[in-house]
Amino acid sequence: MDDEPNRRQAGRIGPRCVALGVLLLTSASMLSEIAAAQNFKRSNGRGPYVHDIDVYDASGRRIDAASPGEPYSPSETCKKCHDVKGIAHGWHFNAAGDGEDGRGGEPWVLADARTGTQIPLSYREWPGVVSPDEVGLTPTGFAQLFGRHLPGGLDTYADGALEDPRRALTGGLEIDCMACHDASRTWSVERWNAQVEKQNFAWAPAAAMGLIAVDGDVSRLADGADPAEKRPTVRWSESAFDVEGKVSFDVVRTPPDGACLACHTVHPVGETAAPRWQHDGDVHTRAGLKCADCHRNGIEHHTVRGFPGEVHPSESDISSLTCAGCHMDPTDGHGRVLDRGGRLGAPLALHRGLPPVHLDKISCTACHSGSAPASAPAPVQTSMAHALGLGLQSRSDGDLPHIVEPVLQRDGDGKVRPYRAMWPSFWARRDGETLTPIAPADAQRPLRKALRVRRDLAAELGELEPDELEARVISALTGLDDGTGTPVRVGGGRVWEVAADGASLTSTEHPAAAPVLWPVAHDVRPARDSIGSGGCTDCHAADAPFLYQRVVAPDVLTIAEPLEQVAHERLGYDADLLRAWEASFTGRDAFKWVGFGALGLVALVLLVHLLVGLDAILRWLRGDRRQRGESEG
Amino acid sequence: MPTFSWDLAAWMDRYRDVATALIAACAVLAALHLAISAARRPRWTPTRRPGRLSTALALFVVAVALGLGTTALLGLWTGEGKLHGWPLFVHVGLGGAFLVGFALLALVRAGASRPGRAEVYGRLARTGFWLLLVSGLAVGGSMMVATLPWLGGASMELTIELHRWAGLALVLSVIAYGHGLLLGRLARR
Repeated sequence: MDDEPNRRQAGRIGPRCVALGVLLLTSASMLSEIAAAQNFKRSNGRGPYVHDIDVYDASGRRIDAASPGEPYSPSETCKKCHDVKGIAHGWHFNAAGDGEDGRGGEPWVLADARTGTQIPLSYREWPGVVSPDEVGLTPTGFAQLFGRHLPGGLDTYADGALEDPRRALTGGLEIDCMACHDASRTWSVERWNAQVEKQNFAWAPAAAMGLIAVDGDVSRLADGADPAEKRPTVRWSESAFDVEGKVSFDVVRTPPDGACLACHTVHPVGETAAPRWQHDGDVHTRAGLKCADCHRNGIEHHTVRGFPGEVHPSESDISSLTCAGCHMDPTDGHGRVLDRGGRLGAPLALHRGLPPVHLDKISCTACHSGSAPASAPAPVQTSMAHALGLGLQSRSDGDLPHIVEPVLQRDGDGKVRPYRAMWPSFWARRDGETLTPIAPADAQRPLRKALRVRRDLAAELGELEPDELEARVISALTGLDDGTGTPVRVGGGRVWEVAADGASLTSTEHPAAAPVLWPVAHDVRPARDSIGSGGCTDCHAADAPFLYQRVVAPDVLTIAEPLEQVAHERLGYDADLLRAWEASFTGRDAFKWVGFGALGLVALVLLVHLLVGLDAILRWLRGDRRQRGESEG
Repeated sequence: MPTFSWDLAAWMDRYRDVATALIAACAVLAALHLAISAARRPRWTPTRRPGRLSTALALFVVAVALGLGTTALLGLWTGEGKLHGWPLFVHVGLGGAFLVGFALLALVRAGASRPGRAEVYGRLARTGFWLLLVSGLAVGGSMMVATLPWLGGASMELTIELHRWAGLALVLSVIAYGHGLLLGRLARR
């Protein structure tokens, strides 16, 4: 009888057992993570570490120098010593929603001259951008187009990359450490891009380093092709392996500027652009700093972007890695300095004579960064948008997409900042307020007949009379009508569609037509070349570009007069107040003379009467003493 | 419920509240005192009347100084504690007018406002006058120095802080001065 409860108890798993089990499992998991972390090698030396290492293919098999057959896999090779999984969550590799979307940055741009298309794309949910899958781009298609300026990491960068049916053929476009950490300048974006364009993703890292020659083109293979039979073949360079069968990589911990600029170059174009040899570059680079001195990261690769208010995923305090963090001494607003800046030997920004209210309303970059504002924003080309860095004979200043800078914009914090801007241009179908862009590949056929454009929509239709152009666009929109929505043309900040009469175009404003903006941070101009260095009238004058720049919303296809806005309207300034200040600045010198003269006069009056008062006191004291002397006598 | 603190920075942060309360309290006290004085026989009577031009100048300076205080407080209350926009513009414009009138007033009235000369102005008007000159010099000086390319960020903030508190002292002096002048007029009736 006594054994009955014990038997019953023995037959079921009690809560204590469950708790113990969970604890054990958790501990085991933590221990395995700790063990894995401890497996990562560290030199902890400041000097370079010579990377003569074994290389491994994507299946984790060591590549035999005697009969190498596969390209090396950066992740399988580097993970022996480095936390490759952790790196994959870094800013450059986590666009597909791994972390916060972060402050809006430069989007990718799907550009096509034949259809006059420039659509901003991003896997991050930034304002104004379109997700690549909305224009029919699979992760493979996205990488094929834009992988040229992606340092790999497609699996975490693009939504659905792991499930992409072509992944078995293409292999993974892995994070290629050498794209940024190569000190030998061997890694070639040309060689990388040659493989990426062919969808030879798995082969790109080794090919970019010149270690292999690849024979084959995955992009020509059908989706269901047998990878074992059809994949490209590889020939390793005879000099790739040393006598021990190892491969030497000249790795540098801090990426050189060239690695950053490979993807983040901005190139001024157009009539107003000075030749390249006349550009000074960024003042920080001139002073000997590297990009990664400020835009730094730990092994997790959460690269500091360096804008005020940025929150780092590691919760580290990165407030000093901003312009103000280095160049300003934070105060309590009453003149009491609370902290000292000056990191990396940064000179203190004194802003002599600048009323502090300006710093509350204008960002550092508004006066110091990018092209100085001119009467209109100037066109620029960027690496990501225009494939800069690749040698092309067909480059021209008019290449799509059309991007301009600086466009000043007031942010949520009330500060004015400079931006690069691109007005989307594309054909779309409208269903209510929803616009669905038509991918250029889908638009080309219907448009070819109506517009009779062979290569370049803007160039070939630009010379037409307005009536003829309108008729062709109406014809094009009619041709795009497949019954799934009203065909529209987006451009110049407006959405165009065929009017009810069927013979004219009508336009409306729509958020999808609004410009996509991303902040200008570099190149930074020195203090003497910044706005305001010439005095108050750099801005407070009727012809000052900062407030009177004319911002035109350009359309690839100019259907009508483009929308135009003066900078101060965009910024929400009171035009009457601006003019009042401008008028006051014309007499500012006279005001100063009169003001100081008046104060001098008052000071003189006070001095005279102070002396008179002192004299009276002294006389009174003398008289008092004399009186006392007489009374005593 | 506001709490009292000896922390100077805390008081600086509450400038808008402090300035508004002090100016309002002084204005109410002056008005009350004026009303009571109007109903009673004045204890002091001037033996000499001030000139018309000098009186007009004094009233101009008082009005402009009160206008400066009003625009400043208005700007601070409407601009989330910062003076900018139209209130700042009007404030700066009035500042220029104040400096000119203020200098002329100093020239015209300093002699008659010296201690011991009670034939034209009463004690309050004379005290208010000299306080006005000293605080006005600090207000104007701190503003004019800030127009020169001399001061950097923290120094500029310090100068503006000086300007604000000297401005408060100026408005209070002007209330005392104006009050003294009005008392003098009551005494002459």
